[in-house]
Amino acid sequence: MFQFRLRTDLPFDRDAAAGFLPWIIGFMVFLCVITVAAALTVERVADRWRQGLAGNLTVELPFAPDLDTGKRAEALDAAVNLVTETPGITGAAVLDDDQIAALLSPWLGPDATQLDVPLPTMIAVTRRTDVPIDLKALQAKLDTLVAGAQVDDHGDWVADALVFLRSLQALAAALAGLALAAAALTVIFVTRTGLATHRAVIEVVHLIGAPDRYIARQFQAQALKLGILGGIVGLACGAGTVIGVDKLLAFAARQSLSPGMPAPTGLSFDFRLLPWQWAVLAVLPLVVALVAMMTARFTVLRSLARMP
Amino acid sequence: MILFDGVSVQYGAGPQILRDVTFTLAPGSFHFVVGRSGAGKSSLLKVMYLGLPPASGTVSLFGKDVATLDRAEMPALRRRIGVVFQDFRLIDHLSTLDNVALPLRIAGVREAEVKKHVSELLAWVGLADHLHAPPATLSGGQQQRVAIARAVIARPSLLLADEPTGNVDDVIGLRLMYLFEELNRLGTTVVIATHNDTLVSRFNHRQLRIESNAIRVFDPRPMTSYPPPTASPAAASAAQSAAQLRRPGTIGGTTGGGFGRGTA
Repeated sequence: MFQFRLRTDLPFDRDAAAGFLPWIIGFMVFLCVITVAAALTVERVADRWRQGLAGNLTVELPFAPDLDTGKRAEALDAAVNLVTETPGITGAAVLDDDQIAALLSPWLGPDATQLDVPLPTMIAVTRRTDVPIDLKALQAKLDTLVAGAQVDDHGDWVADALVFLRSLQALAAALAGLALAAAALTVIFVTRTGLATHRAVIEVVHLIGAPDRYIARQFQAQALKLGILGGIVGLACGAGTVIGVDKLLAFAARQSLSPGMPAPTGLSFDFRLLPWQWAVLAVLPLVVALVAMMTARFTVLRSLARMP
Repeated sequence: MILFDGVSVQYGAGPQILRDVTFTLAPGSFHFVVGRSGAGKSSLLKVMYLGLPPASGTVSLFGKDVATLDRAEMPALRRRIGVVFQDFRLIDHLSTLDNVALPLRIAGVREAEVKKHVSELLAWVGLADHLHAPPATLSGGQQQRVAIARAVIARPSLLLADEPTGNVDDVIGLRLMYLFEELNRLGTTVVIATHNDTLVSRFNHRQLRIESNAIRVFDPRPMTSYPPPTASPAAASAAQSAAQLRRPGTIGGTTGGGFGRGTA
């Protein structure tokens, strides 16, 4: 796969099994990069969702068919006044027909408000996140003004979404761990094969007075070299995939938008990474190479300790 | 230096190669191990270089009972022993220079010193033009000289050589024997297994004679007429240069002179 040499007493370049090691490690690093990138993206999305929803409430006033238009307007004004006078609330805006139509358009089409369907009145409320609000008391007061009024801080939805995102992260961590374990097992196999292949040379080097750690150093240097080479390839492929998927998601999002619709913001899902997250990915080949190196070292020392 | 007390040697469940062998080799002594082919000369050396544990009895090297040695203590002991294997056991993917350099690199000698001393020693054994040649491209005699150079380069306390002149012509054989004698004069204990009666009679050292699975120590000379061995100036130079490597990473003793392509 690659051509550069370290001075070694053992003819590693004749190991057929070792020739596959950079490819296997490269593949494992690729998997690690993808899964860690996904976990980092999920973390960022979770933060964005939390931040996007933490400063907002939604008040929903059901359509009251038994009230005339004037009474409904009075009830709405009273509800808005009640909300805006609540400590911690910084603003309240009643959604107009266009905004309601935009919200409902995915389900009812662009003319949702023109249909003969009773629609609730929605009040978008902004709040300070550092001031606690007694939502139950607010709910009770609103209920006296408009029966069936609902205050939604999106807490349940956010909690469910975060559980889902945390599950994704746990899955990604498990996959990365499996990839790392697979890489370590491969190194153990290749190292043991190398020990068997070079048994005669190792015996001579032993008889000349080499301690086990001298031989282990040669195997670990070889594993580190192959690990870094494979890791660089895996990182390059993984980074390319991350960038490609991000562009694909952005393209798909643009395609799914109806003409004139605003681009989604807080709740969108992309695969774009921050600079520090790229730095984390860049460290992965080194981590895998170090795991390969230490695995080779311990495998050699354990195997040689059993030799006479 | 070397103590064998009631030692028996056998491979697995096979027949005993050596039975109830007892002898002592003093530090700085020079011995031939003689006996017919298959008598057990190589097996005796193998026990001495810790390549084969005795089936019974006590083997003591440098004052240590090898049976009680911890595995971690073995390398340091082995570094005090230079071995010329009968089948050379050169590492075929390494160059001549790298093969000979191996004991020094294992001992942690600096690379510049390794190259200097290995080049000088290889020049002395007539392989100056083959520093970078792989062993497979060398003749049997040349490979034997590489094996000898590897065994003596770190100036071992004990040199074990199994038929070290078996594949070289008489001139080279003599030159190598002078090198062994010079190393012995500088304090190395030398044990050479050979079936070359001419060599044994010419150099007239004490002998470990293996007959009927037993060993008899034979001294062809009376104690009072045991002269100090002499060697050619070139052999002395080669041996002394090797002797400069006293401990890992340092060069002590005299400088200059080096290895000439001296005549034996």
